[in-house]
Amino acid sequence: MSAFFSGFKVVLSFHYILYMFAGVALGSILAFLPGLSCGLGIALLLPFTYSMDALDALVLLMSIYSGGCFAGSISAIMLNTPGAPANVATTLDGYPMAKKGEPERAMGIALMSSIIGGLVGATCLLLIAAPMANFSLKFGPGEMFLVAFFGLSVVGSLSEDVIKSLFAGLVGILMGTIGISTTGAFRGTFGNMYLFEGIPLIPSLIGLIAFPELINLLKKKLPRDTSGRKNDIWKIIKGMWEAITHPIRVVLCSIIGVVVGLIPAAGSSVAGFLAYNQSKQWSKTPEKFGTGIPEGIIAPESANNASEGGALATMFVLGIPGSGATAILMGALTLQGWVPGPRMFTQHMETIYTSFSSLFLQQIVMGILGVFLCWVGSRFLKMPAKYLVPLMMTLTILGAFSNRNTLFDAALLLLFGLIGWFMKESGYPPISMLLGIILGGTADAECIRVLQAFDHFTDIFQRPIVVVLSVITILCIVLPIILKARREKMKQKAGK
Amino acid sequence: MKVFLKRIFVPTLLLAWTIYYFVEVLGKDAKTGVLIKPISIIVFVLYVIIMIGEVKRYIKLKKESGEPVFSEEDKKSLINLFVCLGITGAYVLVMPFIGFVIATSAYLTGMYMYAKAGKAYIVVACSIVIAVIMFLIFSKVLDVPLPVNPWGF
Repeated sequence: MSAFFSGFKVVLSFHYILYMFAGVALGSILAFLPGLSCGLGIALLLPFTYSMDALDALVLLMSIYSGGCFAGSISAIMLNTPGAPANVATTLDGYPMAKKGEPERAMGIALMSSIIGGLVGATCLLLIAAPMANFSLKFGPGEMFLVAFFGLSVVGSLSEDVIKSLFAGLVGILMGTIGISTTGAFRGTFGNMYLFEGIPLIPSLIGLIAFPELINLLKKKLPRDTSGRKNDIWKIIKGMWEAITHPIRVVLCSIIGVVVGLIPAAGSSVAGFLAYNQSKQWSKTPEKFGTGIPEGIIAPESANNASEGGALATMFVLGIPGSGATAILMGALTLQGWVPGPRMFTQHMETIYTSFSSLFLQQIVMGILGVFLCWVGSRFLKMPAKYLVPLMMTLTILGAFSNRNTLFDAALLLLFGLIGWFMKESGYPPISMLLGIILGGTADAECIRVLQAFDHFTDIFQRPIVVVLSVITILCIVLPIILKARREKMKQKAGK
Repeated sequence: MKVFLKRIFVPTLLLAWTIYYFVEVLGKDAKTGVLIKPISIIVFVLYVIIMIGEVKRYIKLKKESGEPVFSEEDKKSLINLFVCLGITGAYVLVMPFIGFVIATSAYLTGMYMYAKAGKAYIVVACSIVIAVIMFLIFSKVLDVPLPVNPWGF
């Protein structure tokens, strides 16, 4: 702990502050653009960190990571186009709020929730990283399999029609298993080498979520601010204050984020969805979720930023990267000569604790830069869609292309765009399918591991963590159906 | 009938792919399809439930107000979808041959003209400028190797 406090003295020097501002700005700008992510920013700067000190590299790359976690919410709110997978759940209420003519409020709420989430995440990382990581070591294939399905339990609350949502989610799970299995077999690739590693997330994400919206926006007019107001920044700050007025929700959702972040491969997008789902279940007015309410923005934004703390804990303590971005961060540490694994934490404790100190300062930097970014973002609503959409479509194609530098991914984006458009028109939530794609690979790999580790699949239910996770998963799917039926019954009674 | 077909297009397409995937996995060893097989069966069951609902809905609508037809707005949005996909598809197809800058200039011009964003000469000029800026940012700053023509752009 003393290393942590002395770490503040180190990172408060001019060049670290400069790294933090540069990193947060770069991560924010990249995450702001749909299809590009902070992972890309970390990957781009990776070669330049080779000659840096380990701490310099960590502070710069973690700043990109911090900035990227928040900034994806700006395009999610403004254009219904999440800048990063972590911000997909933010579109559910952020975009409707912007549509109602309150984009600054939505962005202010998202910014403050992200800052608080980041601070809670950093605090948890500091306090419980080591003991929680020890607990995660107990997670076997059975627990990991259940974790993947636990992430999918959110589909029950994503659509009015649970059956359609479940259908989309399960097809997504199947799509997530495409590629080489852990047994070495090729599945569903049509012999195409670009699918050997599975369906890439970025083209499928942009195709399902962003492309249909952009196509529809081309012939629509974006809601434009006609009030002639000037104090945009003031509205953002008011939005920030509104997030503070929900302290319990922000902290609880942040804790969900940290716990999910601790679980490898669960990722910040799952954290956002889970927190959204839980927040909806805690709410006295769950039917208002999806219409543009602050609670629907606070939940995913605090959780996805807090999950950063959890993901960093497993990365630093166990050497297991919990997401694409932390995997690249892990690569940066390997470049520095660090050996991934549980020993890494003890061997480089001082550097790691100093980087924890910088995480706290990065949240303050994000607050300062975030207000400016939100202010710039709000200008988008004043621009007619017909000027913006073709440009955004080009950026999405480029985002898909730059993922692996192949036009195959751009073509894949168009295919998912077509599917996403018809899904939206027919009442199938594309987000369910996306969640399935994200979780499918993990579910499949862990399912195969279960069969290798146990005589029979049902043996996993002898483990208490598996039982608890199973019960929670079932409850999360069934409860919304029961509650919906009860509400309809009550409405019918009230009508009579 | 067209309205009904539009509603069942996506689930049917996804089911067709699921069946293909299921059959493909049947030919592999048991562990490879351990998750895929039960999920495919559940998907099939859900499809049947959805279809029953859709057929019931169609029959009900037909009884109430005759054969359901596309509204003008539906027709416009369908045309919009296929025009956008067509232009974007052509853009992706020709980019490796004519290079990023020319393809993007043409794509942006086409999209802006379709969106009636302004006078033709302004649209063309803006499209070229945007394409060049994007090319410089992505290829020179972000180091993304964009497709180029024999002249290097």
